[in-house]
Amino acid sequence: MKIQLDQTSDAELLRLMLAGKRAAFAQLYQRWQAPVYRFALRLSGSVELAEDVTQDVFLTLMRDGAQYSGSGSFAAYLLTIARHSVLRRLQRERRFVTLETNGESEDTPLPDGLPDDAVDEAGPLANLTRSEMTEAVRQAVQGLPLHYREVVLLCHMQELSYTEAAEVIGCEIGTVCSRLYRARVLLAKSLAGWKPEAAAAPIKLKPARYAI
Amino acid sequence: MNCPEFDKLIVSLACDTLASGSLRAQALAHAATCARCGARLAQQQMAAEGLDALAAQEQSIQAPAHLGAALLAEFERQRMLAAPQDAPSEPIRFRLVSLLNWRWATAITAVLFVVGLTAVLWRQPVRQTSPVQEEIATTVTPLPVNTSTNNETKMVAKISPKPKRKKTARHNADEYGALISLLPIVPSEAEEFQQVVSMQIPRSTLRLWGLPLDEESDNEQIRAKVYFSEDGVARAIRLHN
Ligand SMILES: [Zn+2]
Repeated sequence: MKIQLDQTSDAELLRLMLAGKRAAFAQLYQRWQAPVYRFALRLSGSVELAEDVTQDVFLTLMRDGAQYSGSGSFAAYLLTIARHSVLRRLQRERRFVTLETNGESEDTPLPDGLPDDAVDEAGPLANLTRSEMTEAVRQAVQGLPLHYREVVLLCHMQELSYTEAAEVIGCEIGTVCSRLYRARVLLAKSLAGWKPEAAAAPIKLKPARYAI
Repeated sequence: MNCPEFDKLIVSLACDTLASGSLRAQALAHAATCARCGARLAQQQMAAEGLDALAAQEQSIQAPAHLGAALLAEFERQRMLAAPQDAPSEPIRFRLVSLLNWRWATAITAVLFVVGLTAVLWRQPVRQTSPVQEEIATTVTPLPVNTSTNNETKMVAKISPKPKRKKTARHNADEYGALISLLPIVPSEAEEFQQVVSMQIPRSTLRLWGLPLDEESDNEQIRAKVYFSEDGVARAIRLHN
């Protein structure tokens, strides 16, 4: 009997994959490569690193896939592996990040001058085309501190629930909400000062601080 | 509701986790009449809408195709390695080849090769190729790492055949076709090592690796020698003639 793999659950595909079914692995890869790659790409800001991380995730799945309990979200399971891989590689390369606990915490007051005054009736993005607007948002996300960026990526770009995002990060749900709120405030500030010509310049990642 | 009370609720309001409908209504009513608090809520909505628009635009971003081909090849390789111990109902325990094992294997192969070659030369002064030498007859030619973001690929090394050597009775090099380079893969951090595995591979897998085969007889098995790099990924292949 031929199984319709495209309608098979992730847990069942994983079971078949661990039993050596190549088609099951191919289906899992096809289903999850893009979310994993996008998450790694936007979290790290590096195409090369995102490729390495995507490879890491699926090699880990081959080796340790039996550790997935099947009860939790498969997306959260894969993105947890991806997140660890990104952080490990960034730490090793020390290109963008140092894993120090001197980052902005949820108790730190937000900087002055946040765009309460920048939000006019139409908003700062009103005069931009759609592609300019998304480019502005992309650059603003890339400029966020890492612990805010990952929450934005998980909750908005990956559409995880707060519970799943908390599982990936290993924190409380309240922390996810608090960081998401703060990330949006910082984004709004960044967008308020965005000019379309900035899109032509290469994205320069500022050294991110990561609060563990 | 006043501004300090609104400030206490804005995180849960913005994240839509405010359990109390009554509090939510009061907070929204306050935001509608207070410019400061209304602007804070509008900020959140604007950022959320921008993020959702970006998410929609980025839905089309996929991992590069060569990653999938390399991972499928790796899956196939591990399945082949695990096959002898394979029990139908038991999950396969995949084994990643460690650098240490490779070093031992290479050292042992080198010693055996030297001993064998010495014995052959001592008995018969005619130059011959040993089976071991034939099996690992590849050279690794390093290429510069391509850091261009345009093609988003990295070439680390390519395997090229050594100059033609004499045939032996046991290993006829012409049984297999020319060496075909598979897709580029992520470089390993360590020195390059290789392994050659003779295996039977379905045509469908070969097509996934990018070889130009038609879709007919996808289940047909083809004999091939697959050349793996130290990081365990298929780099090149020679099909049986
Ligand atoms: Zn107010």
